[in-house]
Amino acid sequence: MNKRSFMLGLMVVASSVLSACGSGDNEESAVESGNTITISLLHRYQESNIGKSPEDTAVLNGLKRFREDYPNIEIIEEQLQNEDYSIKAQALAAADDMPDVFIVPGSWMTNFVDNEIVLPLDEELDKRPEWRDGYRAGTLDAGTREGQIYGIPIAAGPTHLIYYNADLFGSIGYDQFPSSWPDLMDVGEKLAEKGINLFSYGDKSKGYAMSSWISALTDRINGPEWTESILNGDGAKFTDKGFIQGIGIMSELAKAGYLNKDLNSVDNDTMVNYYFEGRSAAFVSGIWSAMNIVNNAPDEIKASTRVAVFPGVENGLGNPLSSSGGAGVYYSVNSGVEAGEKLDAIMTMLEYMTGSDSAKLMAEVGGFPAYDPGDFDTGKLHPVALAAYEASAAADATKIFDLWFDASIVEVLNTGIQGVMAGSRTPEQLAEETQQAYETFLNQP
Amino acid sequence: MGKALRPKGWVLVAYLLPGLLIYSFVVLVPILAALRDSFYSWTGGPKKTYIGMGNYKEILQDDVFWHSFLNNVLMTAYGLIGQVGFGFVFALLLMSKMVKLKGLHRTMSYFPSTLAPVIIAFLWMLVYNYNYGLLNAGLTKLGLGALVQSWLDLTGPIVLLASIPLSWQNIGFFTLLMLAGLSSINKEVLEVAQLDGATGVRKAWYIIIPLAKPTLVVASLLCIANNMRGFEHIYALTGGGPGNSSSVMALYAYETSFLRFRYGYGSALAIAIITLTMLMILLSTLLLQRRNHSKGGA
Repeated sequence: MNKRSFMLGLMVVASSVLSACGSGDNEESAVESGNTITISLLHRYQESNIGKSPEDTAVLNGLKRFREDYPNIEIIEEQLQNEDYSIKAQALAAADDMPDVFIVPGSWMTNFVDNEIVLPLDEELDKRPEWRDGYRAGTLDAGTREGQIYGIPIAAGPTHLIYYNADLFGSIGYDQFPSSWPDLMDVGEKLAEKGINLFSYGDKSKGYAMSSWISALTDRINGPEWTESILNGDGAKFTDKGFIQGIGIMSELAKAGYLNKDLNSVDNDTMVNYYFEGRSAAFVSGIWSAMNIVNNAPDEIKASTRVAVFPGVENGLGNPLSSSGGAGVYYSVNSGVEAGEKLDAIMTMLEYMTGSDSAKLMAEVGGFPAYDPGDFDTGKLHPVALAAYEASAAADATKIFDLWFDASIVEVLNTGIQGVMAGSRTPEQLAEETQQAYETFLNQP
Repeated sequence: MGKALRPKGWVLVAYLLPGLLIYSFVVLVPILAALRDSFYSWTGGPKKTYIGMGNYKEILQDDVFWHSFLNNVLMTAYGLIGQVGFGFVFALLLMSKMVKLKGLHRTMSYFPSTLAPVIIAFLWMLVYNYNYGLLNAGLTKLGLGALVQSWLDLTGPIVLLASIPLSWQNIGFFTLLMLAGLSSINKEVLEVAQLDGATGVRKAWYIIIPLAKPTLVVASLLCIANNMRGFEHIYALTGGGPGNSSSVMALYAYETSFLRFRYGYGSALAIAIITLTMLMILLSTLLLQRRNHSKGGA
């Protein structure tokens, strides 16, 4: 008796372990045989961010409206935090087990397209020309490979804006943001005398330097042609003078002591807090920081905050008013989804989440949507948010590296720049390493 | 054991089977899968290209990997001093008559072991913080303002700085381990030693350490294995930074696979980590055993 029940228990354990992998498929086919359509959705927008983040607010509002209008469509939604999302999505991609709809950052796109993980959406978008044509110029680009669109953008806008404290700049005799680098260094020196950093900087999570500094700086010096050439593998090199010079400018600021000393060990939130506390006179960040200032800055800081971009570089080939930017992340559809009812439902859902109504809402709460919202009520926007929005709309956006380069290159640059800012390696060494990763990528089988 | 009490062979196997099954699913299968993937150039999708030993050849020339390996070795060295060494000293103190409130000390020293690595990292970030950190505040109070640093931005001693929280967390565990080892030493031997005039450091050096050797060896091996596969603390505390200066092998393998999309190379790195760790443990076992033999012979 004892023996028998023991063996029985053992078999139950063994069979449950062995069958755990198989059970998912059965459930799915059972749902699909019915009339309701089920869409699985994995993204990094969260209920808890509604009201705080314009993107989350607009996307989740769109999803809510879609659910109300199409009650027969079941959406299995999973909301994850940014970093958790990256880990989970990539693990699922490697296991070829992606949900129907998911988010793809620009730097993953080449890899996902090459591996046939994402579905080309041109045909579906052609059926909805009004929606397709509503996107701002260039925002579909980083989701497009060889003429085919693989991703629907959500938010766009500059990743490089300078938020500065006009009162502090005024106190040392600058009534606006300096328009040349020598002037900027002069500001840095004068502020340092008062014990204030020119910029606060926080690159602990890696990636900040590249999206908010390097892309804009390199463009100032090298011009957009260089970026094009390097993206297409047309002969430009990271070891070219302009790239090294851009990195050099950053490390000079650090060496001169115009940035906070703990620049590599604090994150973006701390960086912004240093600005709020008056430890720094400015910080460089994307459009997303505008609402952070509006919501969280002390009143006097909020009132004196203005928006600018980096000054031009002498003999630079780029437009001194441009800012790095573009759409950062895209909604993509699993390549396993076939044309028909389900794909149709997915496209409608995406239109709800990223299209005209969502865009308008995103703009009204201080975001910068990829879809052109047209005229919207700017009355509710705080002057800082409005200034950031206007700077974004006026800027001639240059390509942000981390969206366009392959992740293997991005990662080397992200890691290496920390070393340069810490003073443990030179800009030349970083350029060399990045070039090496670039060549490895180009030669990949 | 009496024959009547001894279970039959197949019963033993049946008892072991569930554990073995689970173990193979969560440990052996992934390792074998990684071994297979390590021969491919694979960026994460259905397409894989067989490149033979290509990934392993690359590892041999990969400076970052070897730098990470060195960091692991450094961390192990710090760990042996900070975890096993201090653990042993603490255990000796707890055994001695000088220390009062032994229960409290034991609980307090074990407490950090119960915390998650992420929390440990967060606590120590607060200690090391440039503007608000305990360390800098303490230095300023002591009139050593010149030493105030942004500690986690230093590329030089960063591995040491990251190893301190690790030791802080694990010291309680090793202290308990040592206490267990020490309490098995025959009291009479200690008393005789004391009658012979061996006290304090002498007693520890000539009597306790040789007798506690088996415990010390086990603790050292555990510590080596722990530090060679270290990941969470570094990931949460510095992220391997600044740059690669505090990178460890597991973190590098993770970044290669999940941030650079080089799953094939990442798998090769994982296999390299297993191989190197086993090698380290084998070497240290040989070393520790040989010492035992030579001592025994003398």
